[in-house]
Amino acid sequence: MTGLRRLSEGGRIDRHRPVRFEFNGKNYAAFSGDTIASALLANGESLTARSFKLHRPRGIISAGIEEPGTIVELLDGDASANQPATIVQATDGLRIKSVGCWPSPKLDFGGINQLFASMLPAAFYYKTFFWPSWRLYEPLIRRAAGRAFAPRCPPDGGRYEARNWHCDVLVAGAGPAGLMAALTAARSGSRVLLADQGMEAGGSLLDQIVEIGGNSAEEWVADTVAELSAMENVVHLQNSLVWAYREHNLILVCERDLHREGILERNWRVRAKRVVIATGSTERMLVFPDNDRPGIMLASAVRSYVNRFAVRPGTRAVVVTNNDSAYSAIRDMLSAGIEVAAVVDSRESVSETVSRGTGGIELLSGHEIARVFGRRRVRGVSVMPIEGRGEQHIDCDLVAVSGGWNPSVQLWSQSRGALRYDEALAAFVPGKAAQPAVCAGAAAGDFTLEEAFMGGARVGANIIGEPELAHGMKIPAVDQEPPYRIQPIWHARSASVRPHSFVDILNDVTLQDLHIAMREGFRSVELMKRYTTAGMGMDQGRTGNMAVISAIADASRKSPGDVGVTTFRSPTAPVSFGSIAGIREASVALPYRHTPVTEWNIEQDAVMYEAGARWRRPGYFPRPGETMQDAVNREARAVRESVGVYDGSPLGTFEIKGKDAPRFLDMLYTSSFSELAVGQGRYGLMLSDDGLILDDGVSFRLGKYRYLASTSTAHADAVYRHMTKFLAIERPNWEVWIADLTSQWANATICGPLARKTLSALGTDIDISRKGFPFMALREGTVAGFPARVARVSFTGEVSFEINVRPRDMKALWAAVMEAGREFGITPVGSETSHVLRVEKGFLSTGHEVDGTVDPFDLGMGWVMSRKKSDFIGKRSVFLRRKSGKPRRRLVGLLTLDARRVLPEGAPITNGGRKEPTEGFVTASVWSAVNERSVALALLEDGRDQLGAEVHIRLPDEVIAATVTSPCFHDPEGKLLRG
Amino acid sequence: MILKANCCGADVTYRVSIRRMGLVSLFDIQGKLGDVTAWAGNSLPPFPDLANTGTQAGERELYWVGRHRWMLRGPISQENAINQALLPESAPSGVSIVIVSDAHAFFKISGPDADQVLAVATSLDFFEMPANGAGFTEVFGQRALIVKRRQGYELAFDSSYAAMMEDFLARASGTRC
Repeated sequence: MTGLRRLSEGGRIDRHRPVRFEFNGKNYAAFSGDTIASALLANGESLTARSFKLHRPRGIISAGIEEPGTIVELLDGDASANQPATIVQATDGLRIKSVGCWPSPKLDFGGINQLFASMLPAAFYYKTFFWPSWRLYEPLIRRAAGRAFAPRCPPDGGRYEARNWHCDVLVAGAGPAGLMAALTAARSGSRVLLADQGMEAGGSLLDQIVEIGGNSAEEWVADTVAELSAMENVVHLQNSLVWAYREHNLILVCERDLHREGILERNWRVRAKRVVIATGSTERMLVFPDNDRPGIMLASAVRSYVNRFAVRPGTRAVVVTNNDSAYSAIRDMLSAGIEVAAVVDSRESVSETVSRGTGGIELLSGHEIARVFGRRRVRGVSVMPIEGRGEQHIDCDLVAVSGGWNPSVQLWSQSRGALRYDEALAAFVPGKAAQPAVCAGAAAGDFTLEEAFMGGARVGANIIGEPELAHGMKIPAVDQEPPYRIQPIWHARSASVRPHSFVDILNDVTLQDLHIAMREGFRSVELMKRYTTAGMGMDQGRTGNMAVISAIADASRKSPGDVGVTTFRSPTAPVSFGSIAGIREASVALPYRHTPVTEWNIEQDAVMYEAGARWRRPGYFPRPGETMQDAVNREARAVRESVGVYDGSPLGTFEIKGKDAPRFLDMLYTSSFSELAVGQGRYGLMLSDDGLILDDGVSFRLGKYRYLASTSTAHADAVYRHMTKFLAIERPNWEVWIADLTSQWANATICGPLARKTLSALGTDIDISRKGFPFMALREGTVAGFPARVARVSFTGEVSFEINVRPRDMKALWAAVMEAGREFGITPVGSETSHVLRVEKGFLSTGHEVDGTVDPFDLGMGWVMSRKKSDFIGKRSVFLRRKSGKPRRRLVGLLTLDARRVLPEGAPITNGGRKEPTEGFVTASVWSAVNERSVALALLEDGRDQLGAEVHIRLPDEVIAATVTSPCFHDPEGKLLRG
Repeated sequence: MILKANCCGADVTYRVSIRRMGLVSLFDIQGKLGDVTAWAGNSLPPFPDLANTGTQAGERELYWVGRHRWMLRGPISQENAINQALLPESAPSGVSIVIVSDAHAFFKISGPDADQVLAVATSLDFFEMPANGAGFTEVFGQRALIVKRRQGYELAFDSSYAAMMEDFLARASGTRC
């Protein structure tokens, strides 16, 4: 035995596999197949939680995902917050605790809130705690009201996985309708994915004692599952919550209990051609005073605990209902040895067909609950006639409540399918579909088993477009059930006058709260939800939404159908962030790119980080004892005084070919390329349609119709998109072919006064003399024995040779460069130093000076706007804007009055350093080793007119003065780089 | 690199072998079918009839990967021979042929659970791929060439992503946590 209330036989638990778990520091015994809820009930625990706001004692209310009463936090290696105790499997060694109470549900200091309950109506925080400031109280209120904290680290024992899948039919729910639908569709050869949140297939069949075709329901389920499992076209997932229904039939399924596979949870992103929603239905709570006391639970839950888990949740019960379904529960309770003291039915009469098998039990028709006795556990109830007076006391330790049934339409609602109110069922049922989806079984409002089987087969056949298949399906024979009948009385009369009549147990929202909200004008169901929180949270108001809707309907004299229902959102139940993210963790959280010399850089202890477009590049190469600034100064001096080398492989490179390639480049860039000689290159700016700088680069002509275009590292992908979009949309008839060669060529760029000597020492068959290989030329040949393309471009302001080789040769080339340059003191250079060198020259950089707001004239680059060409992208916009004559921010240099002071990049420039609208900002700022002082670039309003003026950079704690200069601090005539 | 999935103490993991392949010779061919055929048809396997499929002739394969785009693949030892046959630099303006052998890193995924690993990697419906399927898609968020093989798949990524993809594949297969 695993508890006081465990039945000696029956149930779906495995009595040969006992397990032990810890709940709130105490050990409990259970069986494999138990949930935490069933195990606690089996052990006689009734007070298992405290409520969210008022900290009222709470117990277990349901047996499924709709649980509003007992929410738990899983600890240690299973760490997970806010899980309904009704769906957490009891496993050996599991440690869990109640949430929202301290130190335990039995002794909760937060219970003091109950003394002030009348001062804490729904939305009280919108009206109080404003003096002196809400911020003062907010942390305390949030702490008092909060649920479990998010785990500090991921659970042990595995990883999360997110995967993609495609299928013809996705069936959500493996109850009678879902299994029939899946079977029908699968037999036709369709690819079927069947997902069900339960530990095992069967759905409601597991909760009841029923015969199908002369055999037990379990046998039918087992046979059906076996047939499905044998089909290669079927994927069947249990413990798998279908938690979201998105656009274009994208369905998200969270699969759990995969520890054997080393996977914590697996999220399936399923693209289904069609979807069958067979998610069953949820029983509703009724509203009466103190309807949240431990020992009050849904009648369907009692049935589930008795039949599926072999647990007797109480010994003497009162059943409260407004519909027929509770009578099936009564029969099962009697079979399990639970004494049923009375049936309190709000209806005036109940047919004998419905109440068969309940003879001898006092039937109080036309009655309702007036009071509940007992605080930590129900001790009794008093009932009274709906029309009349006089209370009758009944002792009991269990109250089984059935307020009717809601089709589980959460997924349907997420698919944006319409809902309509069905008067006969007193529930919202699926209406017009918005996506290729259909509901089956109880989710469609077919509440009898026979209807579910037939509906499942019909839907399964229709959805694959073969309706005749339904006729060929053998519908399992079941006992005829009377049709489901309900008389929708939602609230006991006493609920309106007595406090603590809960419509939303999870969020502590009472009928009185709704009345207050309505008096304040919140009569829309959507506003009511947001103002009171009714219907929010983990259970999505499954057991209480109709009570809210009916309260609004009553007050506004409308039907529930006219009030409507709120839109259900994903997830339908709590899902781990880990499963959504999948394996995007640790080293693969963000993409990263390497060049062939990344490994070498790491071996040299370079400080590596991302430097645009996901490339991991060396920032600088510190020597022992050097600070970052020391290293950058040393590297910068090497380039200015001897020779440096950097890995320029990440630069975007494209080969552009076609008879329209020349005019394509002319259209793409501000410069003219159609006149360019073969072997020569030219710098150009690429503008967006609105005339703002998108990128810059040098393009070389390789042949009459063939070019090699380079782009910035950061914008290579954007430039490729820009080019292909232009060709596809603006010039679809142009013959231009673009090949991305960024990763086909790696380059080592040697730069500095001794660069030519270094290249010569490397060995090359290219004439590298100043005359034979002028600036902005490209030559092909061999370098150090490797086939190479060498370009004379410079991003540093010094003589530079960009040696491009195949990546397979790059490591060897790099080693050769380092060896050949040794005698000249060659120094590897990181991106920090490249930044310093380009700022000294005033070269633009995307992301700094090119921030999406500037045009070529703003950067003092009007010379790059070709006057020979009639048009290029962005030209008209540039000149239109300039015609307006409005002031523009223009690129200038800044020299701080205190030469040692390096300005922070991005710092604002304001008039006199006052707190006024900015006149500009610092785009880049470095310590210049060659100038032995700080230098900066800035975009300053009409900056070119302010050369020599003093401006002020406003920092949080001080104002720094600087002089406006030309934006070039080294070799302004550009003689060195052409040398 | 051959990965054996046995991470996190799991009893059951994916039965898959993942291996980074060496360089293959790869040519990016663009142009109208008639122009490409006229220039290089004799050096290529037959053109595929269906987009996103490939054909084979000897050790060379031709994948139809875009409206006017094909990828020619062969052993790296044939790179020079193919280059001399295709003469990219002499090709007419209507035909673009570019060597991209170094720009792609190939991985081979084989074994009974290759589909399971691929399901983690890509949203492509690979069940719908024909036996000779070959085309570009997105794998682990990056553009990749996928080629269906009898016992699994081959994936080709931009070579700059090779280290990350090796890492990703190891994690997807359960070898690395």
